[in-house]
Amino acid sequence: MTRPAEDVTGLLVRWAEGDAAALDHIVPLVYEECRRIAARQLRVERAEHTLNPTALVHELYLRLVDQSRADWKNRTQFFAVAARLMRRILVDHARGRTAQKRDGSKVFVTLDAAEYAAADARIADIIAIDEALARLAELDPDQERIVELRFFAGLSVEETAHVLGRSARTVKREWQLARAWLFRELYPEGLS
Amino acid sequence: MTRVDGFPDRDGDAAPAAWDRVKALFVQALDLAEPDRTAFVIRAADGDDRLRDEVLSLLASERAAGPFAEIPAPALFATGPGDPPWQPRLPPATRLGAYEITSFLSAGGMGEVYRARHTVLGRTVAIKTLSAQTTDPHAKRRLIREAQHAAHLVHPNICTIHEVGEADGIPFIVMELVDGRSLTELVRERKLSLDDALAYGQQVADALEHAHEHGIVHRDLKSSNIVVDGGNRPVVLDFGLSKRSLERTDGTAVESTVTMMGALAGTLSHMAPEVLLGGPADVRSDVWSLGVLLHEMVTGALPFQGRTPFETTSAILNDPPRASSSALPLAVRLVIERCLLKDPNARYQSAAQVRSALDAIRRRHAWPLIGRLLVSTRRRSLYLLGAAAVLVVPAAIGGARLYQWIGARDARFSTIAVLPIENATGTSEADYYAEGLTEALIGQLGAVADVQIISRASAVRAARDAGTLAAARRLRADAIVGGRLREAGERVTVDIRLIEPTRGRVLSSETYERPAGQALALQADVVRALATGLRLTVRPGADDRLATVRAVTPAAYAEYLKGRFEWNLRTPESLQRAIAHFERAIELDPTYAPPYAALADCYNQFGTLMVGTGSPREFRPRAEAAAIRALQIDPYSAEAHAALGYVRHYDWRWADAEAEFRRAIELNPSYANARIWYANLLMSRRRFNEALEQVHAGHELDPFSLIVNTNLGWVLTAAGRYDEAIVQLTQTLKLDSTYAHAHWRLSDALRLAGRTTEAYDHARHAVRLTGGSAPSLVAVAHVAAARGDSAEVRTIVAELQARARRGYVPPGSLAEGFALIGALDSAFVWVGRAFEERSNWVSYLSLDMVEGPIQRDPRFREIMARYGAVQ
Repeated sequence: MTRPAEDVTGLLVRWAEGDAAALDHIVPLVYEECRRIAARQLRVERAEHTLNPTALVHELYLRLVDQSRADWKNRTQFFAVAARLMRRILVDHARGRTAQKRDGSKVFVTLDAAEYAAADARIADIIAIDEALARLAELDPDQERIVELRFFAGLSVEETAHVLGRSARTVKREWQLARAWLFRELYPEGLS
Repeated sequence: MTRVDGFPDRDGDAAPAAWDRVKALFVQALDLAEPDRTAFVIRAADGDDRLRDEVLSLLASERAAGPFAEIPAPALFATGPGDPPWQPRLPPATRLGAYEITSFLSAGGMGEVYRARHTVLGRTVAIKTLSAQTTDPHAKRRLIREAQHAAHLVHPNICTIHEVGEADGIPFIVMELVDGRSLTELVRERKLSLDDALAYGQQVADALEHAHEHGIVHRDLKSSNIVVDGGNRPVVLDFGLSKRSLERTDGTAVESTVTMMGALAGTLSHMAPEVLLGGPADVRSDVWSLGVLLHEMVTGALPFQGRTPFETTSAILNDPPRASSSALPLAVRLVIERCLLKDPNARYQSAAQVRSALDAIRRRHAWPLIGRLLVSTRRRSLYLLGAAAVLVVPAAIGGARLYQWIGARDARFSTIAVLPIENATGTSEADYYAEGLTEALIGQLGAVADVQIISRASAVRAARDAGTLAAARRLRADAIVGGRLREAGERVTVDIRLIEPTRGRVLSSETYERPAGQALALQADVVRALATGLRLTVRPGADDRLATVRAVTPAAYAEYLKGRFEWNLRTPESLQRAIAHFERAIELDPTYAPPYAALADCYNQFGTLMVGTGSPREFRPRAEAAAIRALQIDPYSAEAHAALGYVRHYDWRWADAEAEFRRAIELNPSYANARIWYANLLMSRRRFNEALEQVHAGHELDPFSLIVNTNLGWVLTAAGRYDEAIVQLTQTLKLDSTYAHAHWRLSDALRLAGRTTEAYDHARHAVRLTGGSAPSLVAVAHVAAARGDSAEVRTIVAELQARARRGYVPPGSLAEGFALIGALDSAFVWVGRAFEERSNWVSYLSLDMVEGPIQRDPRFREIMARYGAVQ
């Protein structure tokens, strides 16, 4: 198997230099790998309830990026890409899962907290969050990045701050804002 | 819908500058202690209300979000269903006073709920901890006091509070453990029958009544607060425990904002407008919430709901409740509407009133409800039995693809809205063509398939008010047909899209093209594809009709569409223009049926009192001839049958009229005009229940039609149900306050209910809007007479007399006028003329609402007998 590491690194560099189209080339390269690792993690570690998304991203990073050419900036970019891919994979996964359960639709009305407790409701939330996030991104791309890292890639506030090169305090505040915004989009009536 | 401009919404037209300020303020507010945030935001926003509201809304959302999105998405797949999402504060075996926690049940905005056992008595209870929002010791004390107060309530439909306590600084409430399902769930799963809903509503009203008697207002009544137990008993939870009791009450201006924003997180949709505006909750705001609950139970949807809290707020404050299906008994709708009046003084003033209203309905409707159920079941099984005979049109263009998609879901579409086809030809000349095509699709789909089609006028109105998807939701349509007319010259080209409104998903998008001469074949193509695509059951025989579509002279078709365009405007002038177009269409293609039927409709309208510009003697024979000609060409034309029914009605051939209307409805159950004209016939024969049934059906098909709404009010008046009529007609005027016909009918209803002052105003309105039409003047005279103002009555009669010397005045108006001044001899001269010309007026003379000196005079019986107008 050919390691696509060099390509990915090169593309990341180009992307970092402002070539937006480079991202389109990275995505398919990383996608398969990401899906493979995610599937394995979900399968193997599910029993222990210890799926570690951060580990997934790190593994991806190590596998795909040529460490000799990687610098801090690449790393940030890479996490951003990886988080976005995680988002895609998980949304697809959630779609598949909800499609089995219901007819693939979910009507968001007010929801009891107890119902919210059901994992299915929260999995359906993934789809809705993804959709709402696209709208938030139009308003504030920074917020989208934070949600991708925190929610989809599962990074902690500190890790997110590290990746983005910002203070944990700022990230925490921004995350609170994004969460409030998204929550309002999904549950205009709140959880009762 | 109100939208806060400059802030994000689903259209994405955000204003980044504003967002930056929102963000900055939000972040700064987060650094403050929670109680100080609101005041800070109000101050910092410095008069920028939108900025303030947006930040407060986000802060409220932040508070309400709880564990939302805190568990990373990947981890969600790792937890099994049913696992509690976050660790409850109190693990099993924790002791709280004399109780021991057995398990965690749920968590809500106020705290957590556990199942617990009394360690000595062994009784199982629910314990609610109130930890979440009680930072203020004063608020905590007040909460405990209120809970203790509520503990005095003993009622089968109120969850009993056993004890209120505090352990380790956590206040908790011990209450009855109700095993069951919340009404929210039951509503969502559509498990409630109307009977259930009414029974629950009645019991909840009873519970409220009991609490109100003890001085306790619920403040937060909503479906998720009501649990239906194993014995089918609804139990109301959380009396006196509303979130607002946690707020501070120093009565400052800030407080109302705090109340509002805090409340937004939870129960906005059930909140009364006055409470939303920061006023205190009282018995009547509970009545409002009860109305919301009833609406939710009987319709399955909330009466006010926007996509954002702001839209919801705006709807609660400004909009009428979302329309409920007219399949609901009107009495039920009226109870709900009365609970949901914006002005608390106009609502029911107590829960007891609501309870007795529901009680009356349940007793009255017990049998008819069962009857209705049987009818609908039978109809359904008839369709099943007929399945062999029923044809599903073979897959046509677009249909096959659709079929695959829908097949997977096994969806059934029962209500379809055909939105106005957009004229994209670039020339306004083609407006009529686009509109006519819309109308033709509605007519044909309704005629061939077993489906309900929303009328054009209502679709237009809803689309104008709310945009496509919202329109579909308002119309309760489960599929939307939309289209663009791209070419209407030598060739006709039209794009037709089929949209599923719940997700806004385009199910199909197809282009149809034909030479102008094959315009009808093009219509048939579209109808056939839609019928297949939507898996509509096509009525036996209807398929043949689609298959044998003939060619029509393009110019004749164009004239027909232009005529329908004018007809829809329904003014005396537009009707004249419509007639000219239809006549030209007939000239160009004498074998094309629709213009004949349309012509009949126009002539019939000339006979009505409000349009009435000439004697029916002149117009009715033309209407009859046109309708019959249409039927000779196309015996399946619902329009022609209905038009003929109309003619027969006012020719006093009741049985023939009824047969025509029934045939029209059979051919096209979605034809709203047939329903309301039939209702008029039934009403004039004093068959009020049947009349109401038809007019309701018409209303469901065309909920925003002014004439349909007005006629509903008229039938209610004739049935002696004045209060309901007044509500209905008042609402009609909310659709369009310049609709003279509704003012006129409302004046009658108000007068008959003894409310002469208002009756007078509306009659005067009708006079002004019609430029002084004779019937509207007579309406004024009626009210004036009721008020004893004989001078005004005389003035009006003199005016009508003078007009009659110059030209045509409907004889019925003169007869009524003379009767009002006691000049019965003169009155009977005009009664005689009305009979002679067969005025529409004559048909309604045996209604109680017009009962007066004319009917009591022996000459009346005589004349009825002479003309054979007695049944």
